[in-house]
Amino acid sequence: MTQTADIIIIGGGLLGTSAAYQLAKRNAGKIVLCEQNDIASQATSRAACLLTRARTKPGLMELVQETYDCIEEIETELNESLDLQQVGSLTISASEASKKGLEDTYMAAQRFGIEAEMVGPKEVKEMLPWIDNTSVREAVWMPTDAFIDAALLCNGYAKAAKKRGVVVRTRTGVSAILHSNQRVTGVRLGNNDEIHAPVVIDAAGAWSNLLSYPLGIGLPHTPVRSHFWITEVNPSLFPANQPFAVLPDARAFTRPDVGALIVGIREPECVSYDPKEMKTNIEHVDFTPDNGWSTLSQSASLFEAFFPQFRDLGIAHYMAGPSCYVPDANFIIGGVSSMEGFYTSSGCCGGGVAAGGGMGRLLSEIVTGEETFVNAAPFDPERFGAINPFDPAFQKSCADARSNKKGG
Amino acid sequence: MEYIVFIKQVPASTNIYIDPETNTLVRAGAKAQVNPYDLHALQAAVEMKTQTGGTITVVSMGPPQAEAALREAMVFGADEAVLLSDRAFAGSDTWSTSAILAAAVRKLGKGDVLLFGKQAIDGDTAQVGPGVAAQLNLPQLTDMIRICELGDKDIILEKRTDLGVQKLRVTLPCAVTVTKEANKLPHPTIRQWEAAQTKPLVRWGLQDLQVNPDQIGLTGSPTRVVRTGVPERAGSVRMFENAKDLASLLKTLETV
Repeated sequence: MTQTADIIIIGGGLLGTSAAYQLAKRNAGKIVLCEQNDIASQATSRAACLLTRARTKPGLMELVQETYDCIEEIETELNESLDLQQVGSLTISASEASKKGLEDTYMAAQRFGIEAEMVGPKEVKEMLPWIDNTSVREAVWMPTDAFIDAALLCNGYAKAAKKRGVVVRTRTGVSAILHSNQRVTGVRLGNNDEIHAPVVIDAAGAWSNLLSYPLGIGLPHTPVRSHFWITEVNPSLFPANQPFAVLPDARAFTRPDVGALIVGIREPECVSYDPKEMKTNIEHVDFTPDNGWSTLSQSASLFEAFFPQFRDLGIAHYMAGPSCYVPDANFIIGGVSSMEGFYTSSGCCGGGVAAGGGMGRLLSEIVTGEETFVNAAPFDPERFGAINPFDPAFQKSCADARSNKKGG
Repeated sequence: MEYIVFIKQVPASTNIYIDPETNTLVRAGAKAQVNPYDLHALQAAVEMKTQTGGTITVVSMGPPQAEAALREAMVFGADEAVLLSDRAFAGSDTWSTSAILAAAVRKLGKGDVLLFGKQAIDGDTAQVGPGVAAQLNLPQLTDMIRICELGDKDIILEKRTDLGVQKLRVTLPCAVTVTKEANKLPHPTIRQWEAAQTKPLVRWGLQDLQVNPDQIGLTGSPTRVVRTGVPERAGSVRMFENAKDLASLLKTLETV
């Protein structure tokens, strides 16, 4: 059976649904979104969900601000809460090395008009009861930062898109992007049905290269394991309204989680995956056969400087998922010169929750030919030239982008 | 006091695959976990050991990968582990498994309290604990919910029955199967995980045990699984308009 549309979006994660919402807002035509599982069921569901506003990379603050704007808009449009938790954030420095980054973050916040204040060890301890502030030098306190349940946000984008006429098809896997004479013509579904459209947006995250590479398009990212741990519940130590914290010296972040503490620690050598290893559902992927224990044991020492009891605290849960990293740790947004009508919003670099709304906006402006609200050049899918995403050396360079990340 | 806790590695996913030829579970490739009831048996041993002192030995029969289950048990407080692994053990039914586990107990040469989860969540037979007790001619107490008193010669425990709770004195050595009600599992810490990695673990095969090779494995097992399936649910819902109707139903149930 053949159907037609103006735009097909592949992927029902944050990047696909935000693109659908932003395109629908721009009356871009008949839009069909295909998701092989359920909305927000894959990498989105495993995100740490921090919405850090102050960034030093060009364009990034605008993209994050757009996400905040989307949340407000969608809450109004749907008349329901997306449960944004505005607890504020603390970026903490304990060394000369991280001080520079802290100052840059503070200046960026000032420039962009984000409420920010430099605070000392005493204030940090008041806000984070669990922290040993002995080594803390200074911190940036940003009271308007928030976190959000990524699945709620993603479903918010999808529902708002639907309300504006987007056809959202879950349990609908795409087996191939169809093309002819260097133009995309649609997609073939898992059941061999076809949907024809002149524009196809590959927002399939960890699976996006499996669809684009047969067209000769290597998207410059690969899935890299991202993970965090959740401690046992201890509301006096981990009050639910405490700020989330970024600790560059410990390669870590923390976030309150209903009386427990979420702790994300980046291992020095992050692990990349071949996209083929993702199977059809990440439920079937065992990211860490020992449930993260050996990684935690090896990487906890830097964090212990801030939280000495950590090694003796019960760990209740471990969460691992694939974030698609790009060698320069910048997103992949836009079209490609070799295939008319092919676009992508991918390579979230662990920032899909924070920047997803803005990524959707930038992509939809590119697709509809509007003037873009930020310079699109840093996100150009072709900025690395031709790449083979299945080359282990390339995949390693993507893992290194996460290993070398400065923030949380 | 010497405690031996028997654990089984079971599939973590509900999407399991049954070999159509043998009607047994295919374990290769599936993500595994320790049978949840067995962790409660282990926690019961940890609580008993806190009172009496002694050691906890954890025993599992399974493929080499079951070592991960034993390591996990050592994170949760077991002191040492024995992996019973041999191709000859594969396909053993509950009776053959009990014979192998009993042989392991004889080889260990110790064991005041043998603890088992009330049942494994993959097979749901609840037969292996009682089977080992029978093979070793030990008194057994099933479905334990509470530890009351621990003496040198006997222990007093509570068990769940269909009609309520029984408080029983059991002479040592004995076998006990443990329910989820018996305790709450603690969350392990990094330090406990680290300590567990260097605790002693030995591997025993067929040649290490005094067990008749004709009575173990698929061919030695008297059980033949004819078919495995999920039963259809045939539940019905009845809404009560008032408390009187509900009271009369409860009265009827009381007399059943």
